[in-house]
Amino acid sequence: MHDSQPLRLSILGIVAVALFTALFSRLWFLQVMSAPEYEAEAQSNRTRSIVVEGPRGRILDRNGQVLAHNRESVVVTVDRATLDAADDRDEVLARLVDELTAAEVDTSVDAIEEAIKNWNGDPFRPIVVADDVNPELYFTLSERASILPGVGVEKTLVRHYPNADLAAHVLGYVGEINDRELAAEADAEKAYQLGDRIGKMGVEQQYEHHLRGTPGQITFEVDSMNRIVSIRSRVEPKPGNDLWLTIDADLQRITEDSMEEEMLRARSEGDFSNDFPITAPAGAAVVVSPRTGEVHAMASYPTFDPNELVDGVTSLRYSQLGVEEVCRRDFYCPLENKAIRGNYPPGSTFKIFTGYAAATSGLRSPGATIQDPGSYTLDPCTGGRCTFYNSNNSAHGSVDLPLALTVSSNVYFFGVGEEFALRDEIYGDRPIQEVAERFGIGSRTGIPLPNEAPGVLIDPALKAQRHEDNPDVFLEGRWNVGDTVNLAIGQGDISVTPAQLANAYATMGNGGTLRHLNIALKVTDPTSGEVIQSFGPRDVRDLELDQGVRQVITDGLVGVTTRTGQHRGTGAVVFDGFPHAQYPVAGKTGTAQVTGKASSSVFAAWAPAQNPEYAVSVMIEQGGYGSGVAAPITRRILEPLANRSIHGTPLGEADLDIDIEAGGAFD
Amino acid sequence: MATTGPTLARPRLGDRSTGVAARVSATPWRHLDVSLVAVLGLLSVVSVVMVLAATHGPRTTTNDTFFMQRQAVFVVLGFVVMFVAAAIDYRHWREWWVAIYGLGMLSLVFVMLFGISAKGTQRGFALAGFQMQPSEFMKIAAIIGLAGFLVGRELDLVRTVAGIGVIGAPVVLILMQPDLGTALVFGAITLGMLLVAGVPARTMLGLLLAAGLAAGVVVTSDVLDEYQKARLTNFVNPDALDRDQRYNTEQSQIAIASGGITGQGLLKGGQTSNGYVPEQQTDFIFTAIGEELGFVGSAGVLLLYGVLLWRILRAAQLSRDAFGTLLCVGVFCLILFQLFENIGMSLGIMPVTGIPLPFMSYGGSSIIVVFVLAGLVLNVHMRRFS
Repeated sequence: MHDSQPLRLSILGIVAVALFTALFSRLWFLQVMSAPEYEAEAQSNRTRSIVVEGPRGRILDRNGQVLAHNRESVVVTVDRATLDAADDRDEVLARLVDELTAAEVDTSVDAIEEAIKNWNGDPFRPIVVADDVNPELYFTLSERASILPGVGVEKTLVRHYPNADLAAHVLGYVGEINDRELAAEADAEKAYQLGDRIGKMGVEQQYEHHLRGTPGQITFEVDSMNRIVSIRSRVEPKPGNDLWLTIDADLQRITEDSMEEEMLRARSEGDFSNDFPITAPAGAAVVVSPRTGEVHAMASYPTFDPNELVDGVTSLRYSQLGVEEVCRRDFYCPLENKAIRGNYPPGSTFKIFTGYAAATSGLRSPGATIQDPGSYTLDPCTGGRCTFYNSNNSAHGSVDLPLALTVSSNVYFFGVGEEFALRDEIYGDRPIQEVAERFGIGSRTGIPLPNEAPGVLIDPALKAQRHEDNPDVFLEGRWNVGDTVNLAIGQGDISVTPAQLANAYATMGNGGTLRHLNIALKVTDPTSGEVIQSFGPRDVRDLELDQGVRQVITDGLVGVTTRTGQHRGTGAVVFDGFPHAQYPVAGKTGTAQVTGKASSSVFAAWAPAQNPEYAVSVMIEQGGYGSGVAAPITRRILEPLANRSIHGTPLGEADLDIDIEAGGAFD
Repeated sequence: MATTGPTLARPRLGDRSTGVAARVSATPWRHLDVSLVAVLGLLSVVSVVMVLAATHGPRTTTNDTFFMQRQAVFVVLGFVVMFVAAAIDYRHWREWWVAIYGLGMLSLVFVMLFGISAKGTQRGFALAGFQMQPSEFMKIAAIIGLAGFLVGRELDLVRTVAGIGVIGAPVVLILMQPDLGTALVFGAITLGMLLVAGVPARTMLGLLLAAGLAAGVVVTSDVLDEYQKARLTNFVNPDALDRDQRYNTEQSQIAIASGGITGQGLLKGGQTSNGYVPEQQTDFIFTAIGEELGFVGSAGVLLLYGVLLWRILRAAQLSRDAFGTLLCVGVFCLILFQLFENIGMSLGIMPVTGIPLPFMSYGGSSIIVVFVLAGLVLNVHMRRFS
């Protein structure tokens, strides 16, 4: 022992006291002073949440028939954390593959590993390894849960269109949201995240915010391995609203079936038009209400089954369906809604606007007759074409406005066109266009569907502009007299969409009120059925038509479907046997020439002729004469409507076996 | 050397008549430091409970009480070996120190050659189902060895350096395992024992200076691996740590802080029961105490350790001879250093090293060793009169 030992021992004691002081201070700082802030960190450290999509609202037709709803689908999932923690991971996967194979699911261990590896969705959502499997698996896999750790079976909702391709273009489809859509919806009230479904087309896209369910959220506590320990809170998702369309599913079915039937028939007959074979590969038909602007049927051909897109298609199949560069040449782009996207020259259906312009401008009174020898030569001819012909060069003799419409005399309207062009100091440089424009030609109908095309209403200014912008395609910028002459019969650079043409005819038919087209009727609450929003008629303008002239035109158009004898109406053969007395049809054939192809077959009509219920337009590419395909389709659509009006036969029970002789006229 | 004899014990009235009772009453056991034993009992209870807290959880795959049961066995064994260590008069050990020291060294060499590799280090070998860690047992051998070497000699510079060499040899072997933390424990023991053994103040200051310089060189040179350096300096430079290490220290501080004043309640700690803190039943057991028992519980545990250290220092003071004093000082320094390093690491003020918290962390070797050391202290304390 040495003298300084007590001192030295107390040094140790002092060191100990100092160290303890340090520990106590730090403990006080962490647990008393910083506890709240660390506690918050601990919470966010340990809680995760997943968002659960709400069921999407249904889509119904105007009478409540279901057009789109959600189907229960059984999916097999794998929870990565649990699977990886299993001692016999590989055996678990092998057993799972056995179960799936027994249920006729085509899969393999490699395929499942691949799915797990490629998962880029929410890490807390189990990974889907088999989709839409036999519902039996729900029970068999649940029973074997103990030997299949991490494997889950869930029932999920999948969008389903029970009528397959019926009204496919109107409905559209849903698909996984992409980056661009996600960015666009960044501020959406019902927030989106990757993996969510969103409307991609048609009303599914247009009314997305009504249809989409309100997402719910589950917040849970996870352990350090990201495994779920307990559920903290749960906000249940809410279903989206039901959307009622103005579409009448029965009429839609009739429209689509009529189109397909007549197009197949025209194709099989092997006729030619302007030396090109009639193939009738594509077209559209639109039925609207002249009273409200509601669309009752809208069909586009070729069509598609939206269920196919919901389930997922290969990129090749997708490009054939709807990628412009690929589908345009051989597939006629099934995804394109030709009723609002197709640009077709209206042909002779345009003559009612030329005739109205001539009659109301004082150029040529409706009763004045001209001689129609079958051709018309411009005098003087200052450029462009000089001689124009009737279809098939047929001579109609002495014709006034109604008769010119009934027999579709080109010569009558060529004369109108030339006179308008030559006397532009009186009538201006776009006398016909001004009238057509008021009927909505050249502007969108305002139908609430994505990507509607406006059509082209050609006039001197537009022709010059197009040439200036793109001289290689539009070789000439100067407006010739021949351009007005061509426009007078709906040929040349003018083009309309089928919806636009139907709406213009509806406007003439209803006495002169142009309306935006509507596709949605109302939005209702899915549980209470209460109407949340309803969509009434949207008037654009009252044209204040000259009702005398309108009546003359109506008479001419009724003649188209009814007049027989020497001046037979161009649609009379097709409409032979139609109940004209009770349900007269005011219609017009059109045969629009297309360079290098068979003509487009066009028919537009309203019925009954007075105070019409419906206006229809049908436009079939490479279909030949209007009386050849488009008119028969129109009759097949209108006759069940007439029978319902006369006999009260519901559309669903309509006799569709109508004997029609197509053609019979050169227009 | 004196042996235990009835004549030296203070006799009690009436004890002489019955043989056995007389002998027991005459033994040093009547001078047993009951308060120290009581403190150890309390710490052991806390230990077993907190090992359960740290290993139980809603998703634990093994049996929830597996670690707790084993820890309970270790603690009971610990008390047995403590009393055994207290029973054999420590003064014998002074004569045997060379043998004890040699045995410890041999086992260290043995583990170098045949040891179990765990997490890149070779620290132990298996014996009857338990993993033995010779570096833990070396702590006993080193304390006895150094005390034996230092006692009764004039501590000039040569002897002092030789004393450092006594500890230096095992430290080199332990560093080769590599186990930096345990090596540092030996450094703390050496410094404390040299101080109390009477190394002149100037030499002592020189030693401290040299230790500081050495530490500086070690941290800046290539002697240590990057991960070791990063761990040593994390409390001043947390960014140097890799993601896992930073995760450890962050999670342990979050756990302790979220305990607040009164704690989240036993077995209710969110960080603890969900396995956010790694190595929680061993190196980071203090985080379980912090989160579930709060400031009140943590401070209580610190107080128990304070009482424990006070009793050890008291035993060092009361010892009849310098050997006993040095033994107690060795134990004192070991416990103080391990405690400060371990808790300081959990609190984020000390580097991350794998040093167990004495009497608290799960683990057979470390529990047995600290109880043997506690036995030595009891031994010295109760023979203060004999």
